Amino acid sequence: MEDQQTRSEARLAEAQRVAHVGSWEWDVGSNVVTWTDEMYRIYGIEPQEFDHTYEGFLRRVLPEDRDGTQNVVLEAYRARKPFVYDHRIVRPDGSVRMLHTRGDVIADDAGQALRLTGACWDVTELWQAARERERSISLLRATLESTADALLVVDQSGHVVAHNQRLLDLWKLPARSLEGSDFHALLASVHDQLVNGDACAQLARDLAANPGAETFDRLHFRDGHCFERYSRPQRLGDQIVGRVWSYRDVTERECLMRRAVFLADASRLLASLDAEAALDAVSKLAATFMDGVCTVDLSPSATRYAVGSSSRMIVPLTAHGQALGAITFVSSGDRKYDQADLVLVGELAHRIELALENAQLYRGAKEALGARDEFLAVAAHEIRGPITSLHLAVQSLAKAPPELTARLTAIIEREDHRLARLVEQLLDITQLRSGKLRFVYEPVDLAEVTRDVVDQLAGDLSRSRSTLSITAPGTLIGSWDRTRLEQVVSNLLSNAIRFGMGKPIELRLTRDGNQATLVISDHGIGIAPQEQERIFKPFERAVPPRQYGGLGLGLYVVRTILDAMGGSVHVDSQPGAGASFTVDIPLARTG
Amino acid sequence: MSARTWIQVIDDDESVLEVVVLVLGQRGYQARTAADGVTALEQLRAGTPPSVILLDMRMPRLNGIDFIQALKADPALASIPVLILSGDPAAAETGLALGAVGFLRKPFELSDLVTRIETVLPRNSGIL
Repeated sequence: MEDQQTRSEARLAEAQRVAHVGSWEWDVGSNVVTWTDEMYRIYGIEPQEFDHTYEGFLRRVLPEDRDGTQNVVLEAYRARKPFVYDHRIVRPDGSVRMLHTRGDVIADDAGQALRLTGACWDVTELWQAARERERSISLLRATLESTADALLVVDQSGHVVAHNQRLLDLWKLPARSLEGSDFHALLASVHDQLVNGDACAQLARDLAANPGAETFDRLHFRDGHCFERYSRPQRLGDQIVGRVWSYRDVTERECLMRRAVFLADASRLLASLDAEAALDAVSKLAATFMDGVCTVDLSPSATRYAVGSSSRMIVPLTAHGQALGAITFVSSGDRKYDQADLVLVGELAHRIELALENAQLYRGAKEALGARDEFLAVAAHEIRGPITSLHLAVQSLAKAPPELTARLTAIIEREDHRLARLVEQLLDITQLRSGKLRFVYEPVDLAEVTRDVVDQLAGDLSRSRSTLSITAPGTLIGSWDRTRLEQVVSNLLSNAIRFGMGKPIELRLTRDGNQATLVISDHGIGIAPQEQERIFKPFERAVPPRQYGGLGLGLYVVRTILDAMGGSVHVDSQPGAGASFTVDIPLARTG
Repeated sequence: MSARTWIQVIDDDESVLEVVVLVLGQRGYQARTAADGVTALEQLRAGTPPSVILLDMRMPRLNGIDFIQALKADPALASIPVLILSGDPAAAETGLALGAVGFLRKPFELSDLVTRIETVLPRNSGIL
């Protein structure tokens, strides 16, 4: 019998050693604690190192766990109820072990607690594994939440395993866990937020047939946001157990890209030399891009007001500090323009300004070229007249009867002179343009010069049917270049005859102090206000050259000569009411 | 020379007018001149129509093109042949398209002018 008990105890001890389980008993009355052998191994001590008291046990409990341990024990003792708890102990070598304890209270028939007894497992390895798992989960959670992307992990059965807060934000879902939700149902619930919802759902469905695939696509939200979506399978060893989806917000990047592309497109359109068409095309492009109406107004005081519009922007267009106009956007629908839009429109305005400036330079260059070409055509026409006459006269001369010979010879001489004069004029222009015109100053009677010019133009005057009234002193002497002065009077009077429409012409010459004033007025076609400065420029004229002959240089020559002699010329005219040219010229050069 | 056969010369260059009239006269043609299209139209509407019109293109008041259009629009004058004498081929081309019968580019040969005039004159209205 004793043998049997001994064998039984030995088996128990063996079982306890294998299972890391020890048993204990605390006789409360005598405060004696009894341990099985395994208990000593768990505590890392020899039996003689333990004083077998409750306090001796408590001293080996990790200080942080002591209060908890006492509370559990006292509560069990008072309530006379079984108890379970975990606590840590410190072995003499300093290592910490986690123990799992189950115990019960043994009471006498009167209900008086006599002793506590129980079993104790060393669960250190399990506890460490659990801690490791907690750490991993915490790391995963922290990683999930700290990444800039929205993340979603779905298992093979299509249920959500993990996700982060950003995903809820992305889908505009209430703050709750999606774990366990059906992935496809989730996609369906947010379908309407997407512009390309069908395609996105289809991609997710297609993966059923190809679970190992990695995917990439874009989600376009109706509110303008844009996300890039990546997915790859989640593997456990060789086995695919789910899929990780990540969503990256590329709205800002896309927005910058779209803006850059918009500006590039606008610049390309603005590179056209047809500024009007370019502005029209850019307005249309900008209106579409800005979801509204775009107006480019090229009046310096341009402003736009839109009653009831939800949002509008006005950016002035300037060049060299001067107002050119404005570009206006009025949003249609719900779009509200923001600071970024304003910056973009500022960029656009800058490009428009450059384009307008380019167009202006191009127009100026083209007009200058056009005026020069026109001048060459006119010069060719003017030269062709005398050449034609000369050509015909010379050919006729050989067979001409004697009575015509003299007349033909006179014509040849006259045309020869005319041609020479024209060539001289052209040379003059070359010199005028290069500032090399030479002046010979001598005492000249302007009244006499005027009379000479009138005589020279008598033929033209009579053909024009205009009458000429002259008011002039007998003499008006100054220090001038006679030939140049003749040119001034001749050019002005020729113009009056040519553009006078056969109506009376007045010439008035006066002396005012040290200055002579010549006014030549006609009552002909007149000059529009916007043409009055242009007519003094080379190759410019206010009338179509096909209707009025001449090189178109007369007034340019007049102004250039007068400038050189310290004088001036200005015009006073109304279209249809004739023109009055006033020349002021000092009697002697100063300076 | 037939009293009905005469030539209208229109040019704003009075020297050209003078020489053309002179050389035509040498060959027995009578000519009348006008320095611009408006004057020419007035003359044409007032008297016997000429057998041919020699027309410059670049002129004040009414240029050659406008003149031809006005001429063709007037039933009494529309059938008068117009020979363009001009240095401006582009304008001449427009004039030809509007119904002018020929074009001589200034400066032209006297013989060419005479040949062209004889070509466009009605057969029975020449000299003799």
